[in-house]
Amino acid sequence: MKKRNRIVAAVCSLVLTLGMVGGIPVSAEENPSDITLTVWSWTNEVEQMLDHYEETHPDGYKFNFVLVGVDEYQQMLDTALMTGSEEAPDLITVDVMFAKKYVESDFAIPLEDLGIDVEAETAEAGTYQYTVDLGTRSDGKHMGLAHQGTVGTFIYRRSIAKEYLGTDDPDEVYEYIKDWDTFLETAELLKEKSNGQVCMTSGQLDVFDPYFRNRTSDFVVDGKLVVEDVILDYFRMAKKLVENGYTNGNATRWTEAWYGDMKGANDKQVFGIFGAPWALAYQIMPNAGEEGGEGTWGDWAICRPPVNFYAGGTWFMASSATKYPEAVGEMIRYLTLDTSEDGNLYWWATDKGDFVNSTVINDKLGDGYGLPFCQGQNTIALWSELAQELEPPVITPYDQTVDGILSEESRSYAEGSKDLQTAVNDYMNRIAEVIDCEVPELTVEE
Amino acid sequence: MKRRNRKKNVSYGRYGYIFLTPFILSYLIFQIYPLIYTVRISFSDLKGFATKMNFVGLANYARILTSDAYWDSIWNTIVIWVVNFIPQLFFGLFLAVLFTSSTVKVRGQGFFKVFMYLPNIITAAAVALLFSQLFGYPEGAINTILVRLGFEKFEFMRNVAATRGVISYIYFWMWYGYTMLMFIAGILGINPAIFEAARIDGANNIQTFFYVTLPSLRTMMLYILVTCMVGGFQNFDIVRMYNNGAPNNKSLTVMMYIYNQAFSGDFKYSAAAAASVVLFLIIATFSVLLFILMRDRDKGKKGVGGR
Repeated sequence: MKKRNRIVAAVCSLVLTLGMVGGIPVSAEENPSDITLTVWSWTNEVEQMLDHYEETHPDGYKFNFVLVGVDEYQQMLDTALMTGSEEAPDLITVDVMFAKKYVESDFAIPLEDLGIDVEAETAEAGTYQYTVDLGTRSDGKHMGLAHQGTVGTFIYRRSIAKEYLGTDDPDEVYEYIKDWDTFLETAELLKEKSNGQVCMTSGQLDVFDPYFRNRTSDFVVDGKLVVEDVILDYFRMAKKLVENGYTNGNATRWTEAWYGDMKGANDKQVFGIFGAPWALAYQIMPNAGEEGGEGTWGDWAICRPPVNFYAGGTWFMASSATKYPEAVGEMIRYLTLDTSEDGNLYWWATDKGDFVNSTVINDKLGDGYGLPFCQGQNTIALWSELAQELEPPVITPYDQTVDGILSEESRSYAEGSKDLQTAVNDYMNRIAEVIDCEVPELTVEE
Repeated sequence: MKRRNRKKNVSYGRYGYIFLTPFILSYLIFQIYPLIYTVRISFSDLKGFATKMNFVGLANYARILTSDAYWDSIWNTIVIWVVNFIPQLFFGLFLAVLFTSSTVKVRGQGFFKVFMYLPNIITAAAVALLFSQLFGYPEGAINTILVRLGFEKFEFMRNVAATRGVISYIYFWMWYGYTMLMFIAGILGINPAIFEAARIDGANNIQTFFYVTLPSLRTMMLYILVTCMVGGFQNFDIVRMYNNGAPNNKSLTVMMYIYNQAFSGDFKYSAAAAASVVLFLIIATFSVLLFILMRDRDKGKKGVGGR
């Protein structure tokens, strides 16, 4: 009798231990609160959403959020996914810079397999089509969905517009930047009128996305590198901005100098930058200073850009390493498709002032909306309008790599350490160094 | 009888092997296997998400050896290393002699030693960020000081010499304390009787240094040179975080070149592996050269030194 008890106890403990080691769910019907999902991102925006979910859903899923630097993100993620390690994420976020690589890979589960009827549900939520397209695999399967609309505008300082252009009305300011030539003329006008104290923009990278995101071709076609006109135009634009002193020391994004320009804390003032709604909500707002205090709080507005563009964006995808595909599917739905007032999108729009990826919510909020930070401008209305106009963009797995190379080479050209031909040749050779492709003969004029 | 026999056969040697097993196992798994694997994939076409590799012969080597960018990156690495290593060696040696001198007594030696070693224990990432903030443009601490002093602002991170100089300085600043400690250990290891004999023979401080200290430090010098060279060729973290190879790839070190091959664009692990193997051969060659240059030339003459 005693012996049998011992055997039973041994078997029981063995089963329990094995269950723990293998991470096998002991019962199929687990409570959501027993499930911990590992989520990876390079931005704590996602962490805030998950925190909010945990606060409002005490019985819901639990999360293990891992913040990984954006430069190391792909490397870390690839290792985790390819080895299928225990720490591999269940829910992954991908930036538009490298989304394509994961969308086309076998390391994500199609959303249809998670129980999401993407076509019907995105139609119901009014998801912007370009965001759906970006998350669609070439075989038509939907792999990822985004919570934001990342449509680009020109974000400018009202006080500067009023003082030097005579108006701060978005429609009238648009007339001053309606195309790139006019944009440069306005830059010259600001420089002259202010005796060089006001710069059109912070640095050359602040006009990067309107060019880079309007590419129409892959970087490599039939084994040959393609250098589109928009890329060459960007080189030239960077040069004009820097050479003529239209930037404030050609500040780089995400640096102290750049944040200082948002606050108006540097010696020279900066008129505006090109950016998506998140640039306003997440870069300018936190760095503009306190309401009523020093800085530029409330001195901002947005207007149409010279060319339509989008900038950045975060897509949620289910990792093939997950043991809880259903839970991940449910979370993706909550994060990107749920348009109810308890959902993530509604909270994100109302709490953060960001532009969410749902016409349903934007129509509801947009009516009579006014963002205090922009002196009550109806930002949602303009964003909605522009988001509807966006053509499905081209993204490639190489976006992040080429972005880095183009930023550096155009800077070398802009600061005068290279001529355009050398800079473009170096741009092509540096790409060919890390991507298998043939470098074309290309003669460019300044 | 039986018992005595058994006792005789007890060999404590095998315990040595048992105690060594954990190290040998982890060494085989984490050092030798990756090394062999690296060599293997350097002959393949492994890249991106591929899990199968095809043998492509020497194609990767041909590409790497003919790549200007690769040799440029090796040149950058050598420049950055030489510029930080030479002052580091002199400074470390000078301080070590100063701190061990029997005639010059430095007050608060312990404090200085700790203080000088301190930069070495700060995380490389933090150091790199600190310096990129200091040398930032248009807003940065150094530029603010320059403006206050009536100078023009200077874009340190877009100037080749300034960028390399700052990176070299960071390595110098982080490592001279370590070099100093190594030299102190080396000097303390010299038989004091030799110093005494030198003093009795009437040698002054400078003579003692050149004829006693320096020749006796040869082994330590070789050790420092080789480890420092290996470290120098592997410079990565600070360079990457400080300026990421800019401007114009002139501060791109060979490790960053390898990293870029493996973790950007096509994620060409095979090309990165080939570049690593070539780098390994270069380091090995330099190490052997150093050993030959620094070897004890008196070794052949038996009887010298009383051995």
